[in-house]
Order: sequence, then C-alpha cells, then structure tokens
Amino acid sequence: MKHIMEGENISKFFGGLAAISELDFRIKEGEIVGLIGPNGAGKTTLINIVTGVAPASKGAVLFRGKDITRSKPHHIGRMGIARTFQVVKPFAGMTVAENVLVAALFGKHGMKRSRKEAMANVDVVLETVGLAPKRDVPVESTTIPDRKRLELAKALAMEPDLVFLDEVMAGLTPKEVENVMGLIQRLNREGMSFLVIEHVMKAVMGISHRVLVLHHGKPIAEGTPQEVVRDEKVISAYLGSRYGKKAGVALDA
Amino acid sequence: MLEIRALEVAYGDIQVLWGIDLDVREGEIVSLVGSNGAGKSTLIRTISGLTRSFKGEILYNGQDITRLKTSEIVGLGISQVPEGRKLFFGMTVQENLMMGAFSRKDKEAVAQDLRFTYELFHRLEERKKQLAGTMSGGEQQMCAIGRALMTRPKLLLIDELSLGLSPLLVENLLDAIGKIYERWGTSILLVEQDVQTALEYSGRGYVLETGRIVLSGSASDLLENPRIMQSYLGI
Repeated sequence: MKHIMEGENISKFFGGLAAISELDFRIKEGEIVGLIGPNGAGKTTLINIVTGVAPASKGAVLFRGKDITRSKPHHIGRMGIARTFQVVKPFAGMTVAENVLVAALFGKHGMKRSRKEAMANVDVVLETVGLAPKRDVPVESTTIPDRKRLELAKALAMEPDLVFLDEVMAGLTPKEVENVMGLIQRLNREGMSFLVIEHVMKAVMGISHRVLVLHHGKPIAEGTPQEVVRDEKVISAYLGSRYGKKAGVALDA
Repeated sequence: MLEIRALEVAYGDIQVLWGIDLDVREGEIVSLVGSNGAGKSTLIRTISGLTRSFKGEILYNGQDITRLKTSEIVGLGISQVPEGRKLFFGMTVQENLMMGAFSRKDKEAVAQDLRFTYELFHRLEERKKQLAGTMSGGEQQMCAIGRALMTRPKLLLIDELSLGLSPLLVENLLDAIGKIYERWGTSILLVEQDVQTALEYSGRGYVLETGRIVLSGSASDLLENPRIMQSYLGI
C-alpha cells in the first residue's frame, strides 16, 4: 500500500531539549494511525512539525513523495493536509459558519471556488459535526464542547486527504465520543487518512488500524492496538516500570 | 474520616468528574491511580477547596466541607502536597516550611514540628537558608512534604509524589512519609503514576478513568486485577 506521509529521521529541539529524536513514521493511504504516549512524549510537537507550524530541526517530511519539511502551513493546507488544535483556536469576531468558511477557503480547493460554493460545503460540514443549529452564533458565545466540534469542522471543511486530530474528544461525554469515533470511521471509509492523538484510550484503540507509541520523544512500540497494549515498554510508560516488568512476565507466561 | 459522595466537577462546560464516591478512613493509606487526564488532580484540588464541585458533597469527620475556603479546610487538618511542588520560589527553605504553619498559634508545637521535619529531611536543614527554587527536584519535593507536615495534618493529600524523581529518591520520600504516619497516624490519600509503588504502599485503592471510579478495593486485589491495565490502555 502507498504511503500518504513519511517522516524520516525527524528531530525537534527546543533549546537543548530534544522533544522528538530520530523518529521515523509512515502513514498509509486510507489508514487511521493512533499516536499515543504519556504527557510530554512529543505527540503535539509531531503534528506541529508535519503541518509546518514548527518545522523539524532535522530530518524530512514527505507528503505523497513530495518534500514538505520546510513548506509553510498555508501551502500544506492547500495540498490536502488539515489539523485540529488541542487548545481550540476559533477566529474571534466571527460566527461559527464564518469560522468554517475561512477554513474552506484555505483548504484543498480553496480559492478555486466561489464564496457561495464554499458556503454550501460549510453547511454540509456543520451538519456532519452537529453544529448546524449554532451556525450563526458568534463564536465567543459557544461552549467548549462546541469549540471542539468547530476545530473538527474547520479541518473537514478544508476537504483534506490527511487529517491530524489533536485530542478532539477530550471533555466530550461518552455518547459524544462515540459519535466522533463513528464520524472518523465513516470519513475514513470514504478515503480520508487520519493520525489521531487522543487521551481517551478506548476511543483511539477502538478506531486505529495501527498505533505508534512515543515516550520522551522516541518511538517505543508500534503495531495493532492489541499488540501495543501487550508490550512491556508501553505498559511501563503508562503504569510505571515496576508494574510493566511484572505484567511483562505475566504476558510471557 | 473523609467521605466523598456523588461528586461532580466541571471546568466551564467540560465536566471532568462524574459521580465520585470515595472514602478515606482514620489512619488509612489509600491510593488513587489512573491515566493522564483521568481527573486525579482535580479530585485532590476539590477536596482542598481549590476547585469547586457543582454537585455532591465532601464530608470530613461528618462535617460538610464542600463549600469551605481552602484556609478553613487546612485549619481542619487536611493538607496537600501539590503536583509540581508549588513552592514559594523566592523564599528560603525554612520560610517555605513556616508558611505551612502560617495560621497556627501553638508556637511550641510548631518548633517541635520543624525539628521533626529536619529530622526527616537532613538535607532541608543543611539548606534551610537557601532559596527553595534553587534546589533539585527531589529536595523541592522534600520541602513540599515538609511544608504540608508543618500544618500538622490529620489527612495528607499527596499529588504525584514521584513525578520526575529517581526510584531511589521516591523510596526515601515514601520512608519519610511512613515516619509521619507512624508518629501521627495521619491518614493519606496518595495520587501516584507508578501503580505498583502506590498500591504496595497502600491498604486500599481507587482507579479513576476519564472522570469516573471504575475500580476500587484492597490494594493487593487491585494489583492482581488486569482491569487496571485496561483502564490505562483502553483495551
């Protein structure tokens, strides 16, 4: 299967701190990859690298074979890559629909369409994420769960081929989490590829084809959800090394 | 001693704790474990009155403390060692310790407790005139424990004791806490990321998963229960 994105030997330094060191990763066309790891593992940093928000200090990022390591975020958006932000970033002074419209105009088809055509797409997206009733509400008066949905709506309105989701389910009710999981799976069946960072482990384990585990900026495991949860290094990273060692022995037996 | 009933907490529109029931009995060491973002620190902060619940109640020796001010809660004997230590960086070690005794009037007992703190942590005595912010992480954690101790707590809430510290250092800190427990019979609610260490140290434990208690029981039973791993890793 072809890769939609490849990261080669990526490192990112903040001063003397290596937030990510020598990481290789691949996302296949049509894949949902889960990216997990304890706080400070470098997950959001990786999204910032591949979307041009904070480019890599070393290494290369390829999108469908093309080097985008030093490309600007707005170019990357035009190519068909979208992301959400863990700390929501609505455009102030605009309505919900206008927020999504901005994303639609800066997305893959961007300026090729009229504002009217773009707006029609906005309404479809708002319907998809369940924000249609809040269409004309000023973004300042929306609730946090709505702003989470708005992040997702903005990413989808860019009509991307590859989407990076940074904790879109945090703070949602279990029912809402289920809805978002269903939505991701549906979009994936229609051809969209995803990399999903999520602390709601049931969700990320439930939808990912493959899971990559980062710890202190380095990959410690990779495989199906069933494989990584049985990995001693993963258990140690989450539950402490002493628990991990004991569990590892039990799993081997 | 501490009874938490049907507690619900939200930050703005985002609810983080759902229907929490938790007890700490007199003289008991209880751990609270769970993955990142499960709500452990929120629960500790709510007990201390630093975060407010919108539903449910917290009883301490039968008294409803749900709406009390943090200073009143400390006055009743509940003290916290916060995550990340939260020392007063511009103050010396001894000034930090004495802040724990800020509202105490029993001067002699305060002096006695300061001696006890220095007995537990010789390093703090050596460095009592040093600015707290200039010490290593482990020494800062000693100072944070000492500061809580200086309130002469009946219930000690400890949030992420081992964060960023070496296993040997953690063992020393736990030994010191053990001595506090022996001396005063202080009840302890321990939030800890190292599951094995936390449960070996405790009599009972609770497992928190995305804002709900999903498991509770004797620590030794919990250590054998594979459901703990599921709550951290999802499957």
